[in-house]
Amino acid sequence: METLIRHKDAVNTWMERFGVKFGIYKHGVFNEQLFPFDSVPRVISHDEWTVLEKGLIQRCNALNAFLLDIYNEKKIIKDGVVPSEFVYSSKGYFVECEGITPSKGIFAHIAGIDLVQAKDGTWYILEDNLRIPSGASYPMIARNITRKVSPETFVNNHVADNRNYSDLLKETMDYVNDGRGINVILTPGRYNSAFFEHSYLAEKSGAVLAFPGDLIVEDDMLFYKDISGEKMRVGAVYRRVSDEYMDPLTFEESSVLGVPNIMQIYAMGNVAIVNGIGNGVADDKGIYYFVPKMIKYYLGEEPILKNAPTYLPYFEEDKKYVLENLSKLVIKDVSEAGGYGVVFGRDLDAEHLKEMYDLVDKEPRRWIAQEVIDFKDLEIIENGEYVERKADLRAFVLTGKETKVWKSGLTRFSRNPNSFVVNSSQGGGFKDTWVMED
Amino acid sequence: MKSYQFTYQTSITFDSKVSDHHFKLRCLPYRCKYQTIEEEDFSVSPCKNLMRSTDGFGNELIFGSTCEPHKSFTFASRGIVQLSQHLIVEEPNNIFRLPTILTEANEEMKKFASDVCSFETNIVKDTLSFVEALHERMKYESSSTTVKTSAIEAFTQGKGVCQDFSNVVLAVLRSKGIACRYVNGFIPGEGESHAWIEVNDNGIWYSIDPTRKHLIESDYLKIAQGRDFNDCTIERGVFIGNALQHKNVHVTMAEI
Repeated sequence: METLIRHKDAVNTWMERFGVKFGIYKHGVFNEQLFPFDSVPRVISHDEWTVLEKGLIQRCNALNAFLLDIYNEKKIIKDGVVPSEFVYSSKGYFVECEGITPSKGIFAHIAGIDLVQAKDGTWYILEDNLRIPSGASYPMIARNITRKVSPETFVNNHVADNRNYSDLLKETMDYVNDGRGINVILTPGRYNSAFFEHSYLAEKSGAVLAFPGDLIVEDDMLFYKDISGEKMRVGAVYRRVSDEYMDPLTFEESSVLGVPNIMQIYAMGNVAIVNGIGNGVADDKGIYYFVPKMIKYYLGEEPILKNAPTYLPYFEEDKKYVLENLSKLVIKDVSEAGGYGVVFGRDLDAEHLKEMYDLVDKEPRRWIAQEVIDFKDLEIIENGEYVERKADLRAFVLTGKETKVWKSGLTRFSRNPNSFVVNSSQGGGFKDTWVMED
Repeated sequence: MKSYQFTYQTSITFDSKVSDHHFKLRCLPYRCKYQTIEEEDFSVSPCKNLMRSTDGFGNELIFGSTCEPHKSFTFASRGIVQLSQHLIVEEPNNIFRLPTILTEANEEMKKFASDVCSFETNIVKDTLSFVEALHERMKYESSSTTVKTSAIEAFTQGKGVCQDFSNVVLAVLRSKGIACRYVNGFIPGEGESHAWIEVNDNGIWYSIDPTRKHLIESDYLKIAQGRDFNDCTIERGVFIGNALQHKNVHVTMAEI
């Protein structure tokens, strides 16, 4: 590992040459910046991984069952396990998806599940990302480069090869494509924060990188038009465009990023959309609270992985606790993502605490509150010194014929020693994640 | 049971050419127990790429695209439909109990409603009493609102058209947690399309016309239903071009 660390700068230089970038919008200005790489990997032992893997598969299977149920029979609502207002008032719920059974019944093909490890070693699920989780390409390319820069590291350590992510992706797309046509990755374009990833994954998985305007709905099918005007039928679209921009005739009318009328042929079952439309209802921060209940409800199993201790002010009892303990909790706005809308009670002065109190009191459905988990910090190297920083892990779970967890993941860390927020959109860095084979 | 013949036509003219025109239309009769379709026909011009399906509310959809540059766009439907008593036995989906942006009620509306009735014992009767009172407060005035006008805005300005009367009633019913939906359709005569509502009482959907202040028996032809106007739009389109458009709608419906 020491040789690898010595080569940190070489790795970052290579990544710059490959254009491994992350776009950030701040104050309305688009800036691309490098996603800083730290060469000390997060190491997950074989035994620890076995448990994580089982738990993640279980969770994603339950989330998929939930989505299929919500947009069809709604048994979980009728049986009183999840209150209907949590479903229908969720911003991620789309009435336009009612009655839709996607290809093979799968909604969440690519899930990015964020976890943190507490000081005592327990893993907690922080959030589920079932819409368009990004980040898999960074550890793929980092591994590729580190193997080049320091090949002996991987001879001496038996690390599971993570360069198979694109194969998993292709397997998933092929399964739901079901032979209808080609696979495409639909990108909103080069000003998207994850454009680098879209093009990289297309190249690696053999899918066609499609831009808005390349796809058209005809004869109840989806077609890709290439530069010469040649049309090819599309069987699966791995879209990196948000739900509300996917179809200007169904959702946001002003969208030029989507495909007009794609919803109609998706509902007919003539094209697979990866991830499904309307998945936001299952990764809503309010629904998160109910995931352990879903696991019991749909699978009849005890949850293997824990949620962070969470309170829903929607329930009177929880609201009382939250309002009384506001200063020691983390408060999250259920409709925000990317580390926005997260407030630590202890950082608030009396005046802001009062404001928060009133907000929770007035709109209890909008918030969840969680106990602050005592994170196990990870070492990073800064200016030649080892320092400890907060970090999380985004595990990627792919569902096709089977549900599989990619043996790696995106470990993000906060560069600011006082911050708990590790999102790349907030300027954090990343590490490789090693899953040991033995 | 009576049979009605209907014709519907919308012509849109653009003051300069547009292309890559994609559209989604809801102008065919809704399929349900009280509407038996005897004949049905539709056309879209210019168009070489035409498809059909239904949406999540069960509304019939016609969709497609026209790539060639054009300055006019016309779509039309016609048919003969047998209409019977507007009653549907069905447990409502809970989404019809929740307000949308167009069907939210403010304190003033809630207060106004509770001064009229409680909506506790007989929902249909109370809705009709509320509609009666609403007309004292809001007057019908054509072109006084747009399709984006919310129930609150219409109520506050004290005037509106059929969709505004419907929105206000939906908003008040939803503030009481009562399941109700917006309906777009045709009524006997000649002119434009009409809007009314359906309210669910004890597992039965009743149709009420908030504009004409009565319980609907059987001579209303339902085209589309949804939470509000946005779920029922007759025409949605996107195209490339910078053109002003002029739209002309013509509906006829008559007993035969």
